[in-house]
Amino acid sequence: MQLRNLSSGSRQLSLFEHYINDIVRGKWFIAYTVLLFALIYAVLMFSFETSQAVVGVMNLVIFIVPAVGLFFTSMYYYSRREFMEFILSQPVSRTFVYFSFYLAMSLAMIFSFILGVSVPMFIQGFAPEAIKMSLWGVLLNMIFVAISLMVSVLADDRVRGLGTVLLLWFFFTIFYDAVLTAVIIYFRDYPIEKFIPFVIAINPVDDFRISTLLSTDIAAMLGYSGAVIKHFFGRFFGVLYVAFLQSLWVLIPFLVGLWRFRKKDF
Amino acid sequence: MLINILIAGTVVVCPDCDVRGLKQAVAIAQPYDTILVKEGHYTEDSIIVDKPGLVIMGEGEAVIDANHKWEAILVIADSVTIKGLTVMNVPVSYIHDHAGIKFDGVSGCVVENNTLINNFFAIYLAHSENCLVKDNYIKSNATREMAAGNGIHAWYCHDLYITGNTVIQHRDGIYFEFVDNSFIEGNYSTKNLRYGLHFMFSDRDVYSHNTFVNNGAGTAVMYSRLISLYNNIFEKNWGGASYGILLKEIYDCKIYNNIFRENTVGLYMENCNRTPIEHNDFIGNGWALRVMANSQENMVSQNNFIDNMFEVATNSRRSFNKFNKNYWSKYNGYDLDRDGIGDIPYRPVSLTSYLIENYEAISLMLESYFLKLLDLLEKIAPSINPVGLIDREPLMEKVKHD
Repeated sequence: MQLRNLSSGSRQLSLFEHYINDIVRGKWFIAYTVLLFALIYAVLMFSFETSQAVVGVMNLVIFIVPAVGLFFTSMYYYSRREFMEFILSQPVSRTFVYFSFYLAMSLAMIFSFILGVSVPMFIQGFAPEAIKMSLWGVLLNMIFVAISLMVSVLADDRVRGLGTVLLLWFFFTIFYDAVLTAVIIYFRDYPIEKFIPFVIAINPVDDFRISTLLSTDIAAMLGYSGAVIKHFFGRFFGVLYVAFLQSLWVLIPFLVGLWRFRKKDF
Repeated sequence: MLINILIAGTVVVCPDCDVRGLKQAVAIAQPYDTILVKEGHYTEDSIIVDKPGLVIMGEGEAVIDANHKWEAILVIADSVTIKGLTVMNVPVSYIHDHAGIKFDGVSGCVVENNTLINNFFAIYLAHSENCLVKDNYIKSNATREMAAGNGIHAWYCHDLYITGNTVIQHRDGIYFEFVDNSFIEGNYSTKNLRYGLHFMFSDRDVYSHNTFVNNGAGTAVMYSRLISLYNNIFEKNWGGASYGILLKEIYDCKIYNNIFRENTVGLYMENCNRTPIEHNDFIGNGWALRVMANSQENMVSQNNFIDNMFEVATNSRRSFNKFNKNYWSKYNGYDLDRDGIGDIPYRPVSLTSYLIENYEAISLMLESYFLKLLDLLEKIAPSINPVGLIDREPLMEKVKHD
């Protein structure tokens, strides 16, 4: 049925439709969305004030969203490789195929984020926070789907691909902060507060974490560094810098993956 | 003096009387007379009360309006009582400490049941002794710290009794400098731009049953000895440099039965020495206690530490203070012999807390999974905790204070 669509007029749209139908109806996707909804709902139920709720949700999001974005994309890519090879034997542009896959995957992840995170926040009466959270959800999912797709295209071997993705997840959620902490301790005699905002803003997970913390009561506990970084993020330049870095996190993996995908010998 | 009191007369001030203002009334009054200010709006400033024993009483809404010209009432005679007046609109000055009601060099004054609205300083006591400041309502509309005065300001005084006052939105709610042997009791101080209570070089004072809520920087007690602090509530003093109480250069005080709730730092101790801290509740603070290494020989015992983000922070690897028999909500030890005391000691300084205290920029890693992992490792293997601060007898149940 899908193939009939492919041979007809709007090939890209129908391929995108196929992918998104396939992803959204998959049991893993449904299970993930339901689980996310349940977890966020539970966190919100046991939070008595906005600050606590937002930080609780953030804690879950920085743990789960990068992981699922990375692993789900890779696993899905590898499991549908034969289908992709078959599609590529048809008269379709490789860019179209790649783009359809990326778009379908990101939209599906964003969809599940909205259902699993933003909707429970709305239900529990945290509407303004939910909107901000949704924007970050869109950005984080676009970034991690792009990175994971790039890795999957680059690595033919499924085990190597998933291994790399695991390392990347570890890097973004833990290792980057560990290195930064070591740098802070090692360079304690230097005025590193001036340069820390530039470095910390590179990691999208840290960006999300800090911008969320700054919007809550906890901002007061970040002390002098918090004041510096609030000043940094509060200015036009800071916002521009973060927006630029985050768009690089989407664009570079996307383009590298595309470049490899177009030349790749399947 | 007794004869004076017996023959004391009454001067009545009202908008339609012969005596139409307080200044005029003071001029014709004899010492120990009563001046009865009837309901009305009196636009007057620079009223100098220079006769001893005058009792100035407001009846109904007796409003003294300084109309932004100069300070309202200055008392320079002993034993003057001011009751039931409303004093307002004393202007900001960068040269003179204009006050609603000022006492300079007097003994035995009483300020009771007055309302002071929109004044620079409200009640100001200088070089005075044996004064009672009771049940006044003091509110300003200050927004800038530089252009604001204090609610109750006492300077070089002794034997003051300050009780039941409400101070809102001044610079410092209650300000004590060189004030000895005094009581501050049952006051309510809120929304002040700087400190709810600012307290320096004042010895042998007691403050109890006060509530300090939502002040810019909380309260500060500095350079003082032999202070007793009990049954006070320090609440919602939240901000980058806000403290429930900041203690600095304090010797031989007592801090007990207080409640510290939702402050950035509940109790901050810098060079605070020989002070028992007992039976206090620390609830939901960012840091419950921050103890600098120059604080020594303090005894922290029988306190409840509940749901604080960090329980204790210190910048030293050694502990010069005793922590014993406190209840820590983060303690997850067990009590096999059922004596109410946990069988394994508790270290309230988490590794994260130690790191942040020493490397301030690490606070940017708050709530990151890396720091969570560190704290988890530390719980499994406490040997990586560099701090010797330890509660050897942590309690299993919350302390019930009397």
